[in-house]
Amino acid sequence: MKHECPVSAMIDVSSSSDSHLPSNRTYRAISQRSYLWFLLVILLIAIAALSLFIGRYPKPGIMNPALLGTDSIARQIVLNSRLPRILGAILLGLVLGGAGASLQSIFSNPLIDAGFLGVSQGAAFGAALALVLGLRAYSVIAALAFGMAVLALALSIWLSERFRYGGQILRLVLAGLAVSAFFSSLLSLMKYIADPLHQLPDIVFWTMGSMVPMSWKRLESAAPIAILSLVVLYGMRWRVNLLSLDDAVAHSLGIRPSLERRIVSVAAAAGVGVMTAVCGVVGWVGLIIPQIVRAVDGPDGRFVIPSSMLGGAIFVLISDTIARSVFSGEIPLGIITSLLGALSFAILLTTRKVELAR
Amino acid sequence: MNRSMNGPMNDGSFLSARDISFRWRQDQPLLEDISLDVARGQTLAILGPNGAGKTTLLSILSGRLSPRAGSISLNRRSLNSYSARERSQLIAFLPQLEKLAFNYRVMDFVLMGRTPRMEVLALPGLEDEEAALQALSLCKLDSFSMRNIGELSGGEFQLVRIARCLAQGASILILDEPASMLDPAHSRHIADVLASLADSGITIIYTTHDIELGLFLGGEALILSGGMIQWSGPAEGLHNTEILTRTYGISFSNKEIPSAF
Repeated sequence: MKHECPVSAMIDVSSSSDSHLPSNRTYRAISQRSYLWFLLVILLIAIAALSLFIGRYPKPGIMNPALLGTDSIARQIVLNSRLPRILGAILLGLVLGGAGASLQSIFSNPLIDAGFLGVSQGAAFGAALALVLGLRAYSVIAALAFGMAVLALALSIWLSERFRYGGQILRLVLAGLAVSAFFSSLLSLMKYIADPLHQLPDIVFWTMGSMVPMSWKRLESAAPIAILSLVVLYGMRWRVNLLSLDDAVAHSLGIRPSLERRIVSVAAAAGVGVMTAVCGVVGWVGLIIPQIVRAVDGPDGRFVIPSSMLGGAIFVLISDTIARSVFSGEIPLGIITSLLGALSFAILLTTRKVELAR
Repeated sequence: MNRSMNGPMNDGSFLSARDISFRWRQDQPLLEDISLDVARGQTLAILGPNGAGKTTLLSILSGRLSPRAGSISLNRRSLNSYSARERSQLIAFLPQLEKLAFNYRVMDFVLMGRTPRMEVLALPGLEDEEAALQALSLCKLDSFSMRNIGELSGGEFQLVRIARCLAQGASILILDEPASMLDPAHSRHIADVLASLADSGITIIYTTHDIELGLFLGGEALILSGGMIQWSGPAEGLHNTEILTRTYGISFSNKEIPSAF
């Protein structure tokens, strides 16, 4: 068809001797790529390596790496306690950042996040339900958390399409608010009927979010789904740009918006659900990190998704390192991320516009 | 002026609608038994009062809505039988309004138009960037590639959106009110761009309230009102104020039509 049509033929690259071709110089300007992700990878590795030696053994502060060769307790702590925990924090951060960035894109809404769409609260309720029912097997907890996370997301989207108040962005935020509140009241109900000696402390500690339960075994069981979720979100990093456009435009560009939106949101909910089943509710990461990445690097999903994943990993890792080393008792991770997240959100909103192009 | 009549492109129907009907609600037919043929390289203006079903007709022609009855064919093949990807390589549809949540760079925004020409999960490559730059150039936006969408005026944004359609490499452009709500200079600029696209053989189907735009672009025109085609013919026919009076219910005189052309 292209050859029958001069203009499309001109646009087709096969006629590349065309004088309209930009000079090499324009070209390089256009082809500028973002290397933020590369910077973030280096930063993440450096922080992870440092974090491995930060803690309260043998005394609070940074451990001498030479100790690993001589002290078997040090070796045990670093390899079997800190290392899985650091990897778990990285995986959690990757998932939260990636899920936040892609959900914001596909719902054309920079003010949402997995936690805001009821996903985290849904997962929290699912896991608490499993605990209250006496189902302590990790796979059951994870399955219930995942199922409720997807259900909550579906409910939020379904509700937002039926709300008769506000624009699209506001409707989704309000629907997420209602669904989150619904699942957190169910969660309160679980707390109320839970056995106060054996079940309640688990549930409460876990709703505050913590990497304490992370072990090699837990990491191994959560990693496959979390990594699958990351692969899907990363693979969709160009398509999410198209999903952020009007449905009529996305349709004209040959994609099926409702199907692809479902794929991305189930992948995001699966990753967040399965990590939440292990680490509890860790909020704000998915909201705040993509905002910062976009402010630095522009809104293109090709760069926002990988950089938000890495930024999320750095943020969670730093927060968790603080959580486990500042005081002799552990501070729940969720408290730190929420404190830092809410603070930076307030700063972002007061100092610069959350960009809405048109 | 009548571009559809000259040039070798005019061989056989390209996009064709047969007896299409559409209604949103049972008791309110919106379109009834509409038939039309758009030849290769033809320009077709669709005029008519608000609520006449112009946008619905465009949605049906672009394959986004299915008619209740009747059929659409593209190159003598039912439009339904095309995959989304095949269809999007041939037809680009531009809705009247487009909300944008994120402040993309013009270049990245136009690159999105390349998606139908890329492998399914691929990223745009250098050749896609070349094509996007050429599309921008055809819309006389050569220096805009590194700007952000948020900095553009309404008219510039409209041209960038048309560039995105061109980047698709589609040979049929379906445009809903391409020049509405623009100042005279910008709507003239868009008319010039559309005229040069039509001259190079792109099929353009568009709705408008601007009779002068229809006269300027020439080709064919039709007037849609009350769910039916009230009049169709060469666009020069829009000079006939009687037709317009009948359609819009107010009288026109040639001198009164405000114009940028």
